[in-house]
Order: sequence, then C-alpha cells, then structure tokens
Amino acid sequence: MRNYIIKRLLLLVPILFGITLITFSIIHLTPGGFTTVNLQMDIRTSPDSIARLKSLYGLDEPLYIQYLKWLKRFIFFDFGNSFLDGRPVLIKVAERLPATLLLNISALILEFFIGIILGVTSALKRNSFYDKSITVITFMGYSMPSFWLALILMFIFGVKLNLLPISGLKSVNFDFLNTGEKIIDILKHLLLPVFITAFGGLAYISRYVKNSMIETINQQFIKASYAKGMPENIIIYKHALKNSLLPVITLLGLSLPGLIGGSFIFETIFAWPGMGRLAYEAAVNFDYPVIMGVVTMAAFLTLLGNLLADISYALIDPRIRYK
Amino acid sequence: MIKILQVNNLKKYFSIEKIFSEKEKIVKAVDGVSFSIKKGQIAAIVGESGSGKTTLARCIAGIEIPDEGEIFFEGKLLDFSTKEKRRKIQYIFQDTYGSLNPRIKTGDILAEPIRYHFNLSGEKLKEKVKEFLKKVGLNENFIKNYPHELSGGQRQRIVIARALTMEPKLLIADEPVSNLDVSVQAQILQLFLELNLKDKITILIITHDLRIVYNLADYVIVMKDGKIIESGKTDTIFLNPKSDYTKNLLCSIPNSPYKNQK
Repeated sequence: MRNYIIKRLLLLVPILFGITLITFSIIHLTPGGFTTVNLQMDIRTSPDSIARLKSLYGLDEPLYIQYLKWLKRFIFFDFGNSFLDGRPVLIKVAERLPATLLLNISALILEFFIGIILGVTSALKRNSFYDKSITVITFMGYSMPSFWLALILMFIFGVKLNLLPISGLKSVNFDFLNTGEKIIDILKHLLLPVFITAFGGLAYISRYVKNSMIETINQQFIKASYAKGMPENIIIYKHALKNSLLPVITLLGLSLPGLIGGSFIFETIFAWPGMGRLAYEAAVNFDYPVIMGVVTMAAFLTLLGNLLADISYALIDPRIRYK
Repeated sequence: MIKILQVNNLKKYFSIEKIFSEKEKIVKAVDGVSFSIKKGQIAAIVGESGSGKTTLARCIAGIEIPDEGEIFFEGKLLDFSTKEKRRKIQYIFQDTYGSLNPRIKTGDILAEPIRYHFNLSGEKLKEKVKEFLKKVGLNENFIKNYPHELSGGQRQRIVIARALTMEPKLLIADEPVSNLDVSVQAQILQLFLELNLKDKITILIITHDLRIVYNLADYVIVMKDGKIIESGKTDTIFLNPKSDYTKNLLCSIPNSPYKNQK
C-alpha cells in the first residue's frame, strides 16, 4: 500500500507537467494578448511602446523560453506576479481562497449529509410517495439554473421579507460587531449561497446512495442478517450503509477540486469575493501568471482528490488491495 | 418421534410483470405443499432447479412470506416476533460468499449474533467465537480473516458456524455443497452429520444431488413445479420410487444402478 501511494505521487509529476504545458500553450495560442487588451486598441500607442511593454513582461521571448522560465519558478512554488497589479499570484489566490472554501466546504458538508440521508431513506421506501417526491424535489434542484434560483430567493428573503442579506460575505458594519455577532453575520450571509449550491448537488448524491443502497440490501448477506434476527437499524446502518458508501467516496474525491474553483456567475450574483471571479478577471485580461496559477492548483487538487479516493477505497473495502 | 415442523397446504406465488405488456405472469413457486419433519431427522428436499424447493425453504425460514397455508414449528404456529423464536430456525444460503458481509472480519461475523442473542461480551464472547470455530473444524486464527481471504470450504464452515452461534433447533441448508470440491463436500456433509448426532439439531437440506441425499438424509421430499411428487423414508424412495419423475431423477445420478432397470 505504501509503495502504491509513493508510485502514485511520483506519477503526479509528469501528469502535472503535461497539464501546465497544455494550459500554457492554449492561453498563448488564444488570439489577442495582454498587450492587445491594454494598449493596441488605443491608436495613440506607438509600436515602440508596445514592444517595450512586451519586453518588460518577458512576452517578447520565444514561447518555449517563457514556459521554461515559468517552470523554473514553479518548481520553487513561485507563480510570479500578476500582470494587472503586480502583486504575487499566491497572495491574490490566498486572499480569495477563504471565501470560496468557506462557501464550498459548508455546501459540500450539507450536501453529503442530507444527500446520504435522503438516499438511504428513499432506498428503504422504494417507489413510495416519499421516494417519488424526493426524486422530484432533488431533480428540480439539479435542473434549475442556480443563478435564477439565487435571484428568486434573494428577492423573496432579501427584498420582500428582509430576513437575509442579499450579497457579500460581511455586512457593512462588520468591524463594529462583537465576536458572536460577527459569526451570526457571516452565517446569515452564507445561508442562501450554501443552500443553493447544496440544493443543486443533492440529486447526484442521493441518487448514487439510493442505487448503491438498493443494490446492497438485495444482497444475500443482508437477507442473512434478517434471518439471524438482527434488528433492522443494525442491518441498515451497520451492514448495508457501510457497503454502499463506495460511490460516495468517488463523488467526494471528485468534488475536491471543485472546492477551490468557485463559480463565476454565482459569485458575481452574490458579490462573493472568491476564486471564480479571480479566474474570470484573469482570463478576460490575459493575466497569464494568474491563469496559470489557478489552473495548476486546480489540476493538482483534482489529481490529489482522485488519489485520495483510490486510497480510501482500500480503507473502506478490504477486498481492494493495490500493488 | 415428535414433529418439529409441519407444513400445511403452503402456497407462494410470484408475479412477473413485463414492461411492455399488460399481462402479469404468475409463477407458482410453491403450490399447495404439505409435509412434516420429525425432531432429530435429517430431511432433504430434492428436485430440479425451478421446482420451488428454495422458495419453500425460505418460507420456513421466514425470509419469504407465504401467500397461503400454515407452518407449525414445535407444535405452534410459526412466528418470528421475538428474537428467541427467530434464532431457533437458521438458514444457510447457497451463495456463501454473498451471504457474508465483505467488510467484516470472520470473528465479528460470528460475534455479532452471539452478542445480540445471548448478551455476551468481552472475553466470554471471544471464547464463544473460538468454540464455534473449533466446532466447525476451523483454526481460531481465522477470526482475523475477511471472507474473501477464505476458500470455499472454509467459507461454508464459517456460514455454518454463524448459524450454529444462535443454537438453532432447525437448520436449513440450501445446496450446502454444490459449489465445493468433492473432497471438501464429504467433510462438510460429515460436519452436518455430527451436528445432527451430537447436538441433536434437526437438519433440512435442499439439494439436487441425490447422492448426498442417499448418504445423509433419513427422509426425502421430492418436488416438481411447486408440488410434492412423493415423500418418504430415504430407503423407501430409493428402492421403490413410485413416480416417473423420481425414477428419472434417480437415473440422472452418474453410474446410476437405476439406468439398467429403465
């Protein structure tokens, strides 16, 4: 098992290398560029000053040199400085990450918690009215555009009922509140975005859990448990649930990269100071270092998430052993 | 001898719904079956696949609920309302691998019913688990193994041990040796015989293999299409089969002496 993990971690290196190479090529192949957006539209700019600007940012060198330079810094975890404001990429990300993490982790916990409960209960009451209503409700959440739902809920709870703040992470008077009020203030701001994010993902998880649960409770060892006379809650929650959690682990592993990549539309609607907006702003302005930084971090987390999922398979199911 | 089990006119139908047709097809898995088993016997239900023998056995074990008919166990109408009543009839599934939770170690598989039915814990529980392992002829080191690490014969022993932990009066075994090598088959059948003689457990074996029946069972029930064709003492059935179906079954045994008679 330890050898397997080491092998997988070593494999991350070439994969990550490939991802950065492809990303770097694609963003530089895109028509336009950092200098185009900022200067070329302006007829007063002389070709001379464009060339000077290019050489200032190192954009006049051949692409492979630029890439190698980027790679050299990347090895020491230096993602460079943003073209837009000259601040280090890592600091820009670090500023935006907490808001996105707070939102996504709360949503993920809520989503999995409710999703597993809904999945298990509807597997036990299969084809009942309860099961069918859960299916309808979760699929409504899945198919409803989140920005639309966000606007509707903001209108109802924020404008009409005036119960919840409609946007941002903190109130204007945040700095004047005591600790307890600060927590409540943040929770209030979190409520709507977390609910909407979680609502959209419920269908996924509850479906997976339900199907996997149905498959498990039809297996012989569950019938054998009934024949042993074991009480139902032991059978369901000890024998069946543990065996049906494998797909949940996969989902959990796959949602790990999603934790840092915020949704741009969503963050814009809620004026949420997160990663989604950072990535969007960087892409629109050809801010190469920021794009590369965000993509590389997301890629790394995706790979890590897959690895963690694979490792937890083996922890959960003793039949799976890696070599 | 006293009757431990009496079945009166038992019926169990399954309906198969087809997706694109309105018609429901009804399969009469068990169709009006009556018989009784005496205490301390080894009885066998034989028949081809699809003859309803497994469904019948599952009805007795309470895994399926019969549509009609009565089952009497120890003179009283069968019910599983208390855990005391539940544990007295134990069922051994045909698929031993499938009937063991893959994520639980053998020791815990055996410990769970003991803890629940007899309220044992700690050292006493461990002792009891080891005792049952020994009883089925397994080394006590097996408590640390997962089901997938065992061989077919070892798994069969674990499944039998699990049934024995509940100290049943009636043990129903569905094709207990069909997935095993011939040499292992003999050992498992020997184990059933010992349990019957030493622990006085009444055993009901479901099988299609008449050689097992001949060597093990005192009483035979022959089933076809959910109905009992004939039943009686093993010797009587084997020496003097009345129905053609039973004769055919007997002829299907390899190197059968009955072939010549036909």
